Amino acid sequence: MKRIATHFLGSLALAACALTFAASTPADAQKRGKSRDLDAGMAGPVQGVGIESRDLLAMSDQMVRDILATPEIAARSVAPRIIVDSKYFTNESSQRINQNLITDRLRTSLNRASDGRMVFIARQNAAMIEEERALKREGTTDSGTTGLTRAQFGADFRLTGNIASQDARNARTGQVQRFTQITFELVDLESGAIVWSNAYDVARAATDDVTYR
Amino acid sequence: MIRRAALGGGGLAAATAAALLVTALADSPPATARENQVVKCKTSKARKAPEYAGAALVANVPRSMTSIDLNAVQFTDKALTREMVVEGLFARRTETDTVEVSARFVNCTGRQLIIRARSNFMDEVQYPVEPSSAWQRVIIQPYATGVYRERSMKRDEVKYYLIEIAGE
Repeated sequence: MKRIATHFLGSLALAACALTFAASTPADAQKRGKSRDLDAGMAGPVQGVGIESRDLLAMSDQMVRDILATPEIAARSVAPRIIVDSKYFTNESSQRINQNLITDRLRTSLNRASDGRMVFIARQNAAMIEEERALKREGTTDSGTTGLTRAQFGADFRLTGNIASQDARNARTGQVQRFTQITFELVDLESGAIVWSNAYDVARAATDDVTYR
Repeated sequence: MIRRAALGGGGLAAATAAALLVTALADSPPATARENQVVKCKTSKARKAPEYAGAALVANVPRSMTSIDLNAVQFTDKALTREMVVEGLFARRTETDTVEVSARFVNCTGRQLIIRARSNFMDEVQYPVEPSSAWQRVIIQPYATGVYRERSMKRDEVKYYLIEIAGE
């Protein structure tokens, strides 16, 4: 008898739950699954041991400010031409990461902040530029308003860099620890001299790592 | 809560900042070196620092907020004021005429402190000349010092700065 009563109460609870869900409106359902805006510069609800948005923002900000304080780059009488893209920015770390996240932010931030102290070359778009140059010279289009140049600009410096990491895992506790080092270098494209370099380090440990993709 | 360093001669026009240490040192004799000492802080003295007559950010509506001193360190976390002190605050022009600010903190506790710091740079009318810098983490070991350093992106137009610090 007691068993029947327990079974009955269980069924009643299930029915109540089902009724609650059935009664909820689409708006309620939307509210439950509502996304929320985050501050990209702060730790979010999903955290692991790898490079996260706060690191990307902090590191690019630091590098921009450091480059702008380097006289060999930012205080030349003629603004140097610089290529900042991910072609020579390698990732040897254990984390999947889109290097463009770093180099695109560096380039755009530097370009905005440099006030003409540096000129950035869109070498990744060289084919696009060549196409338009050909149209102008064939007479398909006019020469535009900025005039023709003998050739595309050559560059004085190029950003190179590397992301490397070292992982450690405690098999007993499952705790994971990772040290990630991101290095940045500006290389003179004539002499090969490294005119500026800096590094950003991240060391983190967590019981459960997350998947970065 | 503010621990500030006033800049001589009206803002950063003077290329070098003189650090004003607003700690327990204010009413103590000139410091002399003593070896084998563990750092002890009287954070309450730092919190009771006297009024500062320099530039400050004030509310549009009078007295609706505490004024925020410029050329200073602003604590945004009250608990931190009991755990650390600002030992020194410095500002200088770099070779490219940007401004470099630096603050040295002392961890007054027996445990590791992780704080966040960022800088704001303003022109002579307190208009922000560039976005706030990204938060930087500063990890300070027990009873040790930690240094925060940041540089502006803009050059001559920077006249005031403000360093904010908060708990992790």
